[in-house]
Amino acid sequence: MTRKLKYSQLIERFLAGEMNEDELRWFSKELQFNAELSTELKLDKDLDNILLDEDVLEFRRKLLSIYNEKKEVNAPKIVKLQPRRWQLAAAAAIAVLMITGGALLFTQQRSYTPEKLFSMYYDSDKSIELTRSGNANIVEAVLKFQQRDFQGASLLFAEILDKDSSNMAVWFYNGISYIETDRIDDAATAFKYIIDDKNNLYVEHAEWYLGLCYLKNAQIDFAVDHFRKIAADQDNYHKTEALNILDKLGRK
Amino acid sequence: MILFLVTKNNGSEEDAEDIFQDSLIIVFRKIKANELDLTCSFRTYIYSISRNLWLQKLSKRKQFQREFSDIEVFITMSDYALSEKNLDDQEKFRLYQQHFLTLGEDCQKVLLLFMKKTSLKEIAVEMGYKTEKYAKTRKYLCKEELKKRIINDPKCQKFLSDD
Repeated sequence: MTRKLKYSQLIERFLAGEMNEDELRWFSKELQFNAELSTELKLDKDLDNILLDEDVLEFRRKLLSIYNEKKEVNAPKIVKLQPRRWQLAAAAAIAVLMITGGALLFTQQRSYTPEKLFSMYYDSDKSIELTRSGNANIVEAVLKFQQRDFQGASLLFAEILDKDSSNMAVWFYNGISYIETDRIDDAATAFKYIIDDKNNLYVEHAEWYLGLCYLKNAQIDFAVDHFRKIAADQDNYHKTEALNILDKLGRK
Repeated sequence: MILFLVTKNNGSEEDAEDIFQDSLIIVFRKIKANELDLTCSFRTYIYSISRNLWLQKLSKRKQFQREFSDIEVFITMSDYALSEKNLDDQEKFRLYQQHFLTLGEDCQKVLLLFMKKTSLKEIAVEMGYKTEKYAKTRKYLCKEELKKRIINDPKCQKFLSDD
């Protein structure tokens, strides 16, 4: 099973000195008892140390490339043999299978319904590494979210946003909670809010989930436009997945 | 010479590669810190470091050697670079560095620029990003990817405990 990181956003804010006093107090306290948080923080610091030692990294890069070159040179050479009759027959059979398989794949391409694509690509766990803020309401909401009580989480997230609509993390988690409770239009609104804000860490993920919302609502043209934008952005985190969806929709 | 040393004494070719790499990194660090004090030939020096590293590795694996086959002259070494703690770090950093080097060029560059305290504005310009905020997001996502690869590598598990 793939292990996931849970506290990246929190650690990022801690290391960047972006936490307020309450959050810092909460973080220090949590560190004493929360082994996972402590491990993730340690990993983060180790990585920073490694990145600071750029000379060693460069040296390592050279060593690895020498090893790889050596391996390639030592790799067994392919000797070309004249094909025998049975080999020709086998090759022909494989070719037939590939052509049949290709045709099948081609016809299957058209059998992806938006709903099916949505379930293939939607993964609430994949998107989120939840962090708990020092704010008591957020802690409770996050707990509900982690326990997959999305209805309850969503109510609390909405309360928090009523008081402070600038918390993009809460908008994001709320969007996911809406998807989980089948309130797709509300989810889309939450993701659009994040995208319009521009100034936050969640924009790319929000764009991705907004595209999935369009799929879920069977708004294919919106979805295609949206995934095309994502796919056209070289640096976008979801570029490959967007391309895959377009391909499956036959709209690449 | 190192390949022979390791494979002759219970190790694989992969072990030999790791040991040789770690030995070279130790020497590299010593040169950088101006601490390399050669009292023998460089060949003997590298062999002695590798021998030391391999003996410690065997002892950790509880593969004690009744007879250790040496194929070269070696010198006795006792410095921090070869202490148990440092060797653990050495292995950990090798694995982490190798994961870093499997990231895309773009990610590697962003992370290194960030660690050099390059301003977000400069990073955005250098990398051709539209905004400073995107540079920050990109750095976050790249580090996230690196951490995910590490926590999912079975070889790294022993370093991921809270001690």
